[in-house]
Amino acid sequence: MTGAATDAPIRVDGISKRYGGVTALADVSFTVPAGEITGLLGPNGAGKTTLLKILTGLSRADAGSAAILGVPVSEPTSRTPLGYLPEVVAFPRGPTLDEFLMLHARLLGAARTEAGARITRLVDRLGLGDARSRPIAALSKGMRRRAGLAHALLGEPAVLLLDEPSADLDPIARRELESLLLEEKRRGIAILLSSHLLLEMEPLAGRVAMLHQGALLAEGSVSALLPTTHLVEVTISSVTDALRSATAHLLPTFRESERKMTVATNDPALAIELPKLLDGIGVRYEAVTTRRPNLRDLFFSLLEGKKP
Amino acid sequence: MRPALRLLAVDALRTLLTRRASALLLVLLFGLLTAVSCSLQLAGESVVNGQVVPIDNETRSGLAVGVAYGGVHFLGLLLVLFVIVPAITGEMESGVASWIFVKPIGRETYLIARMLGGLLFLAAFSAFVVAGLEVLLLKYSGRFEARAILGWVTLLILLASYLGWGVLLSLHLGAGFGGLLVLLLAGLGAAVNLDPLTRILLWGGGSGAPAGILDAFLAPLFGAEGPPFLARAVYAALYFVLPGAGNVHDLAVGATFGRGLPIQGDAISLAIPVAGIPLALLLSLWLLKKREF
Repeated sequence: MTGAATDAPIRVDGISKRYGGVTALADVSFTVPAGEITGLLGPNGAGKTTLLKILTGLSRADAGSAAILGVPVSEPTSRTPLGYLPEVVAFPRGPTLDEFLMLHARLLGAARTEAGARITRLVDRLGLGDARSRPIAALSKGMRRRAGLAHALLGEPAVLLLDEPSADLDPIARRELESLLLEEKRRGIAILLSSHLLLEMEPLAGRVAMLHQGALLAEGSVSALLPTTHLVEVTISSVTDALRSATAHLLPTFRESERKMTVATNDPALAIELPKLLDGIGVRYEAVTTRRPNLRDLFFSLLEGKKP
Repeated sequence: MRPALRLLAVDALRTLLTRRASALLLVLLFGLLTAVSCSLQLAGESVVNGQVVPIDNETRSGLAVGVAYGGVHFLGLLLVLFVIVPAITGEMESGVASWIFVKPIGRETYLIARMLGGLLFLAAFSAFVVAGLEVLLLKYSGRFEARAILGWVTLLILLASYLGWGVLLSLHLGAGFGGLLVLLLAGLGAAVNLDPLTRILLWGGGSGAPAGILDAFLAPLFGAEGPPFLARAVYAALYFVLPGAGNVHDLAVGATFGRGLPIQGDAISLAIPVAGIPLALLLSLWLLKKREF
């Protein structure tokens, strides 16, 4: 591990976790630097929530270690610089949003007046101003998630752990969330953000850690992980066996999904050649496009054990 | 007191006080005080050592104390089992407690604070009845009964032990019953059956029974001379084995102020539930620290 990695606000080192016969995490190691949004990506059941729970002290690793700002997560003080938004947001019945946030701000050591100012700032920023005097448990799903986010930011954390933060949010709220996270990133906060929505992460995350069935598939900066190749996509009305055999012969690197067939190439000119090839074998196509690979392509190619 | 402990305890108390069940409890407490008032105006006769005697002021006072403490004990037990313990453990099951566990606050602080909040709630409601009892005693007998305050403290100790065992049992049945078994053996070792479960089952009913019920039962069997030595020995044993029966015994003979109280005033009686509180708390903390959310 490099010196910079050792100083990283979040360090995960060889974490393993099993639930009975199920491996939730298998020897996972990565770091999250300050001033970066790191996407913890993977499908449902990949181990993302388990890892976040280990980092927050809600769960314990069977093997390996993890630290927040150098403090092992087994120590309660490791949670001092932490802001956390869980995947399932459950609030107590009874208190209003204001009362809930006031209690938790005070638990974090803020004086009443200081806590009040912080709460006002946060609820305004998250568009919750009208909900302050409403029972927190009775808020809509999207508002509850925003309230959870307000809670995560209450202590002005140096490390932010967010588990599927955009779930239950409408498109407008998602855009606001993105700008808020980018703002926090600029403040130098280390943000680890879990999501199974790979494409949604792309504009946000400078780094990613990809998990699948508890194993780390890849980790690093998005720019370094994404290949420099181009993807040529052919959209056709239906993918037939005849077409498969014909294109397999012509383009053995073709991959198909739904109505698209995709080939990774270092030759952008293929986009010009391909229509001719398809015309030559009598295939009717709707469009031929060229694009750069995204996180979704990377994830599937890693699953298949090959570069896109 | 540490700020987190105070904040969480006050929050627990506020949550309990603002529940709908608390409004119902208030109605029940007024009902209980009415029963206490009625018992102070009771007319009739009582059988003491085979003798039929008119109920005197001392007996009436004893009965009022018995009704008040019996009622508080029974209601307190219901509150512990059906309101306070579910509130604490429900918070953990639903994930609400996770908001606190992800802060630099030890789980022991959380649990102690929540239990303290529950205990404050029990103290508040029982203080309401004790204060009412004192006012009624002052009105009917013209004296302020300072020893009722001592009874209130011992009652709180007992309710605290129920709370401890209730939380432990809801966290882990095996550990809860294991701990209770230890207490039972300790109680048997002291030749006094004082395990909390026995108290739970017997005390409430026993202390609520009419005064003199055992004497009334024994008198027709043994006549005016009273029961023979063996029967008295069995009766004395019952006094220790069945705390509730002991309370009735006290009420009937008007012997001690211990009547109506769950703990008869001897050190061993008090020591067992007192020892049970830290035992239950330590086991609960151990389980909570091990638990993953």
